[in-house]
Amino acid sequence: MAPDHIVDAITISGVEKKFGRGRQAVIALDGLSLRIPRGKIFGLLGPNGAGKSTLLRIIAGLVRQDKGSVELFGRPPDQASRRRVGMLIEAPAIYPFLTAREHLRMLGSYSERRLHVDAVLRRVGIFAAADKKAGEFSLGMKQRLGIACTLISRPDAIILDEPTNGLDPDGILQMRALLRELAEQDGTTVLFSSHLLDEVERVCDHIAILRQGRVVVEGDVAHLLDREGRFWLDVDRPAEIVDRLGAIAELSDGGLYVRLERKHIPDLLKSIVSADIKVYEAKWVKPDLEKVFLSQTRN
Amino acid sequence: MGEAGLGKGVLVPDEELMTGLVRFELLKLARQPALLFWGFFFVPLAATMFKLFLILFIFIRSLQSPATGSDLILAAAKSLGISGNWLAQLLFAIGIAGVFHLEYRLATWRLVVPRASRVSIWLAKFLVCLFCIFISLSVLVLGDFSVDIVAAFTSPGSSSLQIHPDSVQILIISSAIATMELTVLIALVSAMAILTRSLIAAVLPAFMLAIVSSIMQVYLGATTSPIPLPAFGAEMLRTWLFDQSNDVTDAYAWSGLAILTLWLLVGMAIGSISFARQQLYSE
Repeated sequence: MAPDHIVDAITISGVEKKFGRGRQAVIALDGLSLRIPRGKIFGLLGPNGAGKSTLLRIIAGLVRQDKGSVELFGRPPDQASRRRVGMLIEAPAIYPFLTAREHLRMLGSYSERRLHVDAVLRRVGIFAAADKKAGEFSLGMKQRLGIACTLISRPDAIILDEPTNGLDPDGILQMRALLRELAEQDGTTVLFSSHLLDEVERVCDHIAILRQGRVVVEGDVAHLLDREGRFWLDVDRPAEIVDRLGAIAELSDGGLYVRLERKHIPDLLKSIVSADIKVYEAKWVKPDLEKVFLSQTRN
Repeated sequence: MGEAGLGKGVLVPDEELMTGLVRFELLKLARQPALLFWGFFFVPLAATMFKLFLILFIFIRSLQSPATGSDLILAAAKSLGISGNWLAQLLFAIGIAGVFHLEYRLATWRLVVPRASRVSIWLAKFLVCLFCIFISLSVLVLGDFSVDIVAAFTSPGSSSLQIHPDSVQILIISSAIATMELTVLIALVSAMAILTRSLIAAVLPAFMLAIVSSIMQVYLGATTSPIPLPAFGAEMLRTWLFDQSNDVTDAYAWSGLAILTLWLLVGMAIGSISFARQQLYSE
């Protein structure tokens, strides 16, 4: 049995992976370490080639790391621990000559904890096409079937690589609701990679941004956005404040931005007022995830 | 969702998992009728039709029943020699390669590899190919029986159908030799399919090996010095089984068996180890 005190669903420690040899070698993962907490939705972000897919493939057991270790629920990945994790790696892999129902019936037979096939098909919204061959499915339906395949064995964690690819706006909303439902109602850990930053910001509790095979930023989404926030002021003598604060202040948008921790804001305001500078407007400006992403991944 | 452990209560037992994998492979094959027909059932059906055609041809030409005085079971045992035919091996190789190459063609190893051990997946495919080969050879034997029975009963004179119970043992050994020869083919073709991830590259070497062996057999004829190729190993066993002369010793048969066993073990080892260690990515 997996010990109950294990708080992390997935632990990645110092994983290195190189493709090719010699000068042609490409470093995909460079000593990457990450902990995916249980029951949370964890977003994996990064530009193309950052190492996201390689990391997911290593967790899935499709690719072997050169160095480092991966643990699933406190155990080295083996057949038993991997079967607790539902995985949709890259595009959904399906057999075009099998029906959706046959896919789930067969994949479900590998686990005693399998869910009812019809229930899973209804949950992902393809029940009406249950007996249609998967080869006739649209890209969005294939994606839904791929997700159904991950859910059929009632996993404790699911790994989804770009799960909203090919889904229409309605499908994206349903997917978002499904992920939240899995995490909040079922306690399922969700690790997913996406290029849709808005999507990640709305759904994820935690994120990690990868760049050149390393984690450059990791943490709680709300905290990260707060950390990257700035204070905007509309005052009568902004240049004077910029002179005093130096590099942390810059003139913009008809006022000035000050990059400062939120807890220091009252002191800043007090000093501005005591300097007899008139304040017309002051507000804390939170960045969106896109700004955080770009600030961390651009040179 | 409750806290789930990793004990046996959560996972299906290994034998049940293996059964599930084999059933999945059978379902996949059943849903690919073209591969199933051309890869595994064209050979016995074509061989049966060919024999029927020959009998009809001779019957029409001579307006009398062909000489079917031979033993029904022995004739079926000899018909299993088709396992060494180069064209039969080509078609069987296509079937076998199709089973193993499917996961590369559709990149569906992403679906199955995280759920089961790679050796189990490889073994399930191997067993399904073996099962299909066994059914194929059974169809061949039944077809041969049927044609001989039809020929005997449609003959104008008295039935010349003969059945010698002693031949049953020969039929069983002949079936074992044919199965062994085609199991070697499964091992070699599967290993090539895994190593090259290509259907053509898996089929071609097996086909070339069968062709080269056939040519060498034509040129060298019956030779007592063993040539370590699978086709020669199987032919040595068949010669031992059907040639009752004193020239063919048991040691000759053992040499043939050793050649086949060696090829089988090497093929299986290469295939299973390569698949177990293979990096599975599509970029």
